[in-house]
Amino acid sequence: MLGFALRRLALALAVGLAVSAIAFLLLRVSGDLAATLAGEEATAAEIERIRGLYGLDRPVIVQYGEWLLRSLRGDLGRSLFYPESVAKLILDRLPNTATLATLGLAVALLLSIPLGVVAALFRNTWIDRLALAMAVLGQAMPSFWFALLLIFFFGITLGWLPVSGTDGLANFVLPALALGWFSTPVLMRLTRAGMVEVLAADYIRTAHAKGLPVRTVLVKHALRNAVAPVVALASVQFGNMLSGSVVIETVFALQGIGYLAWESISRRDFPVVQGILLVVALFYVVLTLVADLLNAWLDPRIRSS
Amino acid sequence: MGLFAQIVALLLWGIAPAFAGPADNTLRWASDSEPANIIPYQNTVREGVVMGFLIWDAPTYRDPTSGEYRLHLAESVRLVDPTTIEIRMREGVVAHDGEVVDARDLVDTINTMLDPANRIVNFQRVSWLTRAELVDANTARLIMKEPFGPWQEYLTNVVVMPSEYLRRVGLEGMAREPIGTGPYRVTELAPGRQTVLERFDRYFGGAKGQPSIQRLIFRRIPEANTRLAELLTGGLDWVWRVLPDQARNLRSRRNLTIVSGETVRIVYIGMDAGGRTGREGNPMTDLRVRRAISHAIDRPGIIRNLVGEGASVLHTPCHPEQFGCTQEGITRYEYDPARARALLAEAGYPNGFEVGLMAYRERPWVEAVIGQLRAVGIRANLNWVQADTSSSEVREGRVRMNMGAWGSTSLYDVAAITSYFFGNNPNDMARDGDVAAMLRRGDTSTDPAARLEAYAPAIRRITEQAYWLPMWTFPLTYAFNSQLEFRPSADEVPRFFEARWRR
Amino acid sequence: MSGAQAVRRARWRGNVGLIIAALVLGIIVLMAVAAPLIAPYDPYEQILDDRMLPPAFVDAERASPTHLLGTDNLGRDYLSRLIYGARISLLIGFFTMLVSGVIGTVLGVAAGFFGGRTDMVVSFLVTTRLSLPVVMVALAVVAVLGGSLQVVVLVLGLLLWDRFAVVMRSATMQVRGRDYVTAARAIGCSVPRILWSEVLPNVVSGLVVIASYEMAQAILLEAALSFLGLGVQPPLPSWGLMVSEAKEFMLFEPWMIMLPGAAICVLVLAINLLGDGIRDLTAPEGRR
Repeated sequence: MLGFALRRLALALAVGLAVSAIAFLLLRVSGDLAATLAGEEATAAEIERIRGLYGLDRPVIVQYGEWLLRSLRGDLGRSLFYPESVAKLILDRLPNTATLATLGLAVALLLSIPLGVVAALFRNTWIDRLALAMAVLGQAMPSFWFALLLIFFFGITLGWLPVSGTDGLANFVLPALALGWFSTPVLMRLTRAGMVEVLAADYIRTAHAKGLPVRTVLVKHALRNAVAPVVALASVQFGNMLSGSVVIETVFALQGIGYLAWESISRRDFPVVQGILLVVALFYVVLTLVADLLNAWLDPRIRSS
Repeated sequence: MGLFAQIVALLLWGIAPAFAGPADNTLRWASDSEPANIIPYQNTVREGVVMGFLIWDAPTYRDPTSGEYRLHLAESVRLVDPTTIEIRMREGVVAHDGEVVDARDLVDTINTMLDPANRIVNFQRVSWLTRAELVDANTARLIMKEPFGPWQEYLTNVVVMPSEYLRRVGLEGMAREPIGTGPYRVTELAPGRQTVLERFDRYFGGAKGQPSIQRLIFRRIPEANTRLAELLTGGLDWVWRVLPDQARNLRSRRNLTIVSGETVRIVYIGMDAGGRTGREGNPMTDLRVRRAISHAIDRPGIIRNLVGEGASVLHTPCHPEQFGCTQEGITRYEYDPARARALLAEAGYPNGFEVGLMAYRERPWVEAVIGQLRAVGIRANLNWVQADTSSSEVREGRVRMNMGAWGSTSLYDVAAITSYFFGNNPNDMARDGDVAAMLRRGDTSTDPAARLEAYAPAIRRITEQAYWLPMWTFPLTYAFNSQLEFRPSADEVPRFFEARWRR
Repeated sequence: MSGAQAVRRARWRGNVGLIIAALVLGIIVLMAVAAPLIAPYDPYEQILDDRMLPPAFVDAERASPTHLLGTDNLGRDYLSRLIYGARISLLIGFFTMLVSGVIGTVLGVAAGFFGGRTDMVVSFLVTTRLSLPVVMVALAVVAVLGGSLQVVVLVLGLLLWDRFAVVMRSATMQVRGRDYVTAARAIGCSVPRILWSEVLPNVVSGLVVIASYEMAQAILLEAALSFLGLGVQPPLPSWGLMVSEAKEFMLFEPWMIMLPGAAICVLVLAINLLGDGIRDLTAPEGRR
């Protein structure tokens, strides 16, 4: 176990470094930082002065090292647009994204597990096919389009739910539905496959033979085993939701980090983009590391592979 | 799904946010952009101007209905000599933090903004001054660089900040926790999220009067359809920049008032007549090409279909309502694609040419223009950018053709537009020395008759040379809760301190 | 119903899906290729006086008999724009799939065949790629380089290869141990030759399924980028851009967002079903 954990940790560190290098390069290629910092009407001399002041004239690798150390201390630089630090901007919006991702995941699990179980129980009947059709359709719908349809239907036509902003929990319902919907198909398929496999297994047959009630067999034995891989995948989906909510957050004007990223990209505020990219990627790295270690601890077979 | 949604809706009934409206004397408004920095000297966006009027005050105030300049923070204003303004400040004015505001604050504010070390973004507000001097506790003198024609107009934009606080927290601190003397004080400032203003109970009134609405909540919502959806569902009380199609459909809704207000905002197409992007193979330096473009665009057609009622075709590089904007003796270009093609052939472009078109707002209008240029053989490639990128690219001489809008920072004077775009400064794409000289003569005179005489030939020459294609003037359409008493003003600055809820 | 019967029935049903999907996809490809012949109007031609005419099935009174699916905000024929839009979606989907397929297959096959250090490097690359948020990175890169067909294809291609690599790696590992590969090695065939003639043909069926999935993914992503204003630039009629343009009129002319959105949906659905169908045909145990 220790060997596996160390190897996995080393990989996570290497990936973290690679990601930070990519984030660093993104800001570098986005333009001449010194000229941007100096402002529109700065003279060439002034730009050079700033280049020296910020150490932008030193070798790139040295700059990268310094930037990395500063970032590790939580100093992600300053926004070019707002008179704020990047870290504060991100921290201000992180709770909204976290709320959205959590609710989105809840929606996805609440939809996919029952659907998957039902589909497996009624394998190859019209119920199964209906569930499958929903999954296939769900995967094919562009997320922004689905989100607009939700706004149109629930927000405007029915007037039940607010369509933008972050005032209360109600504001999160439609975005969470839109976000969760797209993780539903893959989670549902996995639940269904897991259930089909488990239902055919010997111990379930034995349980049935012993005359245990159907519900007990399903919930206590079958579902518990079938759901294990779903939980693993769900943690990865959660990581994706934290970053993949750019589109959904933008459509609903939900002030999370995805929306901040999009706004910063469109006004070329690259220090903020860089910060968000770094935070999101590192979050994903940590999340998958924890999930892998947890899985290995639960299931010894993984450690040896 | 229907049942499920109903249950969800029932559950959410309790936690849904309190909708705005007269009940809590709150006004929720939204717009498509926001100032990055709320200090009026540090931003150039319209929402920043609006906030500036709410949070701060200037020595004088222009009444939007009569157009008269009225005393506000000042008790008296007089011209001592052609370059010196003497201002006596009103006594007993306090800022939101209780600090007394007098002549010293006016002087300190101006000198701070003029200091190049502070890198003021909206320098235009003070660039016509060189310094301010204190005469006594209640009197200040503002010294102009040279006689400046529209000084009265510009003085309404010189907002005063409490100098003790400003010195203590600096411009950055002021941007984060703004303190002014205005009818509203800031209670929450969350960039990108919302800005909450509360009525300032010790407000002195002045020309603006006492505000009625208790709380103003501003949100930035970039999507027009989201803003409308919020308006229709009661999440917002007030929006503006409603498109004609939307206005037409909204009119049938009860509980909503749709009104249009005149503005001095105009739309134009700029052309690199001065050849700053290179003279070689640059069709824009050819008068015949510029005239061809002017004939190629069906302005009445675009107005009829896209811009909407209340807009009218513009023929001058300024709004007809602005001081000095003559409509006599100018050259007008009618829609005539055949003539446009003939002119292009004459200029040596029988098959048209390719050109980049930089633009940043009202995309459908821009695309309509691209389509009409295409019809005479000019293939314009859209280069869609942010507003500030557009202006900086123009200033650096990298733009061959652009389409934009200009609101003259709500100033009713040719100096705020024609001189701004043709005065041989970085924004000037034509670089016509004669025009620049004539404009300068007008700007530096304080005699209205002499100014009119100087501007007229400049405007005539700009139209004759087709340096710009002035497109149209257009009204601004507002949509708001019918219970709100609100009157739009022509300077595109909604006066929320004059609005009230009918109960 | 016996097991064998069930499998047959399931397969037959799968094939119905396959046939329909192939048919739909064929029609869309044909439309895209023959766009100039089929489209009733020039997709760029604007007639402002005829703007926002609804299709007959939405509002028969306002509809124009000559514009089957109505006109857009600038009076351009909606059907013609949809037909030309198919070109953009298919081009981006296909070439992105090609770019990501080549990268992913090379990496995956190398990792699976050589194992050891190569495998470690590839798994490091895959993990790094997975930790980068696709939409955010794509938006940022397009913002820096400018939106054009080539840039979008390259960016998406460089971001979507991970699944290819993972699947190809495990497929290659399985094949590597088989007799014919061992035999080929024994008679001294060169590694590239073995990879090309022995390994690749045996992993191709897995490849087709991933390819269809990634193509669909690329089409959805391009639509999302265009929707956010950072994909291909107007007046190119991209479906994502059409949804974005129609969004302004969503409240009062909802059909305008319905049509391009549904077009994306149908295309992606057809590609996904085709992929699923091929998998069911090639997988020996049929659909489970």
